[in-house]
Amino acid sequence: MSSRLNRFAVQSAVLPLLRRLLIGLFVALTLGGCTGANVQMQGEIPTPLVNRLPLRVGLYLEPALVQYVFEEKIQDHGDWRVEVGPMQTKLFQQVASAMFLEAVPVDSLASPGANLDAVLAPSIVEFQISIPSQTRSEFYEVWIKYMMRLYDTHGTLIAEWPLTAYGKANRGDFGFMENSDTPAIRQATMTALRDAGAFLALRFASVPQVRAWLNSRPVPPQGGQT
Amino acid sequence: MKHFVLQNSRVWVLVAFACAAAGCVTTTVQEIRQASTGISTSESVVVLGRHNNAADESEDDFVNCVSSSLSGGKNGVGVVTEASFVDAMFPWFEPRTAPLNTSDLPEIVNQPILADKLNSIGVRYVIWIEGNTHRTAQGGAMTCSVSVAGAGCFGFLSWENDSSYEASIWDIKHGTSVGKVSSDANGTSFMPAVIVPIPFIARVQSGACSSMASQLKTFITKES
Repeated sequence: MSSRLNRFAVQSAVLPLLRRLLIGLFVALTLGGCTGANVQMQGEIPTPLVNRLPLRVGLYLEPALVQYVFEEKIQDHGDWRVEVGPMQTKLFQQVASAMFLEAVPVDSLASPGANLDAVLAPSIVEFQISIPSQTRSEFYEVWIKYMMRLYDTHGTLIAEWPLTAYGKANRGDFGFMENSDTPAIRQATMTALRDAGAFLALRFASVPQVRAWLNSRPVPPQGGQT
Repeated sequence: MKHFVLQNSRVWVLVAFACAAAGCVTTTVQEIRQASTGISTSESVVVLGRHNNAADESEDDFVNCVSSSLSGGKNGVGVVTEASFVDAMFPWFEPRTAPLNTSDLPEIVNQPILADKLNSIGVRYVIWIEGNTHRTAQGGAMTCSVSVAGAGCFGFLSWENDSSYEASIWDIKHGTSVGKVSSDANGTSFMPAVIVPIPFIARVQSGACSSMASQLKTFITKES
């Protein structure tokens, strides 16, 4: 009699726990794939292999740029958040240091006494992502639209041009058992950041307004940029 | 004669068992040579995935597999990893800036700063990989149930995968394309389940990788 009571007690204690575990497992399995991502961007940008332009350039990185956070709620696919701001300083400092004779951070657009030739000021105009379920493809994609501005040392605008960066990451590269959202968006964003650095380094001197300004300078640059 | 038949039947049983255990994979490799090749001990190769066309983009693990297979085994060649090469050559081999044809190579190799870097890395051949593995057919059904009394599955699933990859080999030193190697593989995997599902996986991508790497190794090292 007592053993039957004990068995009943064990069953009444264990069965609800087991049921809860199974329900929890079911909820985790069904909702696990649509939780979105929360990405804090970290990493290194390589030094670009380009010929230096004979310019001393100030680098003005506005607070809105270095604190930029992308947030979006995608219906049925959760909240997506990418802290891309902290990478901007690394990106532009690294790229500008390789592009110019000197690249120094400045606090304002006008720096008349700083022995500079110009001030470069990037800003993010738009940040977009797309996920595989939206595009019915295997790819996570990231677009970053920058507006690049070049000022003289008195704060007068010399050139302004858009720079659109793109990165993608294949869902298949992250294994089917793990949640690919966070690592894939991180990789796609890093590819987009490198893309921004690549196009800035390779195309800066061929932007028509920049080229005109470079040609109007007393000593034309000897850099061999393409 | 009887002994031979017995032996032969044993072989077939072994082959059938091997196929059942791992799924059968059929692989075809083709090679087109455009110029002579050869590599010295101080030179190396790099295997890069094409990222400009999403439809033909290769999986990272395939590119890594070919890369590591080239460096290992008999007659292994020096291999620079994709990540370290792309970082060292930044920004010239990014997805949207990488040369698409050998006609784009002079722009890179004729710049002293880039030529010096290529010399210091020691890369002689760049191998571009395109293609991927996808599922071409699937069938069967399986039901699984879980209860407090236990769990179990019943049914049969099968699926067929097809791999199709092409490697274009560029000689960076001479700025020319020296040839192409393609590797196609397909195989059927299946999973019967009577309480416990037992998967028999055809390693199609792995088969395509080892065939391609083996052929690439011969292609590069064989001076012809």
